[in-house]
Amino acid sequence: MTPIDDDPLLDKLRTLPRPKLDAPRRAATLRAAEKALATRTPPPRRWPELALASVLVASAMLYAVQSMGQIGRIYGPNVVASADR
Amino acid sequence: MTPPDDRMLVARLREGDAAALRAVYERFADRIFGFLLRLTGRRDVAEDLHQETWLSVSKHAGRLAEDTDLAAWLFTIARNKHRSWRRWAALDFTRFGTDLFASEPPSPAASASDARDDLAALEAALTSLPAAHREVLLLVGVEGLEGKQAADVLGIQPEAFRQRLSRARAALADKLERDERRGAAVVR
Repeated sequence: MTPIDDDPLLDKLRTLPRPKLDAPRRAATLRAAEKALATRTPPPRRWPELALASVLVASAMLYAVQSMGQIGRIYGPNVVASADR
Repeated sequence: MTPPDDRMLVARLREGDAAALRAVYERFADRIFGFLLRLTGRRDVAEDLHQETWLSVSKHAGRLAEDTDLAAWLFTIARNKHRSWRRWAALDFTRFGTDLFASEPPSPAASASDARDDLAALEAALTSLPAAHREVLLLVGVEGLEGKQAADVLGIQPEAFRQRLSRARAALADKLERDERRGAAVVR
């Protein structure tokens, strides 16, 4: 993606010392994370919002179809022909 | 591309497997901490953000996609924690008493007395860069993330990433050169 593998400056950055967490803090963070993993709540159910979205989409489609029908009735070819007569 | 081991770990994390969390923690804890320490410049803040990062990992593990790139995901969470902290710190008026953005040396190597040392000079130059430059250099240079992973972490397109990396690299090289010239002038 980028010529980052043969860049001496970036290579030099890789040699910087790695700071480390002290052991008690490291262990405490892991304990807290494990506890959070054990007590996590399941992801919220999506079906109520999906149902609402489906109803809205269906209503919009019905409205669009009815509107097209209405426009067809007003400006359709039969109406134009009868107006000419 | 996600390595097969990572796929397995992601699958186990999704199921809430504590052993998988420990394995991921073992692999990434120090890297994430180092990233945060060099971003914030403060050990106390980095420790807090590190803990918040791992709590978020546990909290959101169940919603991971199967093909999640672990490294990119973890560094994204850490970066977001840092951004939130910066936003909060910018609004915190108590900073007029104690400067929240004031960096302490990230490692003993960055202290002025060791400035002649190559790595110390590099560390000091990195610390002096703006956050946007520092984070891209940390991700690619220090952490060795691939271009796509780093672009994902930063939430930018590959082309924008290339430009940002190029600008950051030039800024770092420029800073190092200026420091070197200043050092040479002092010696003379």
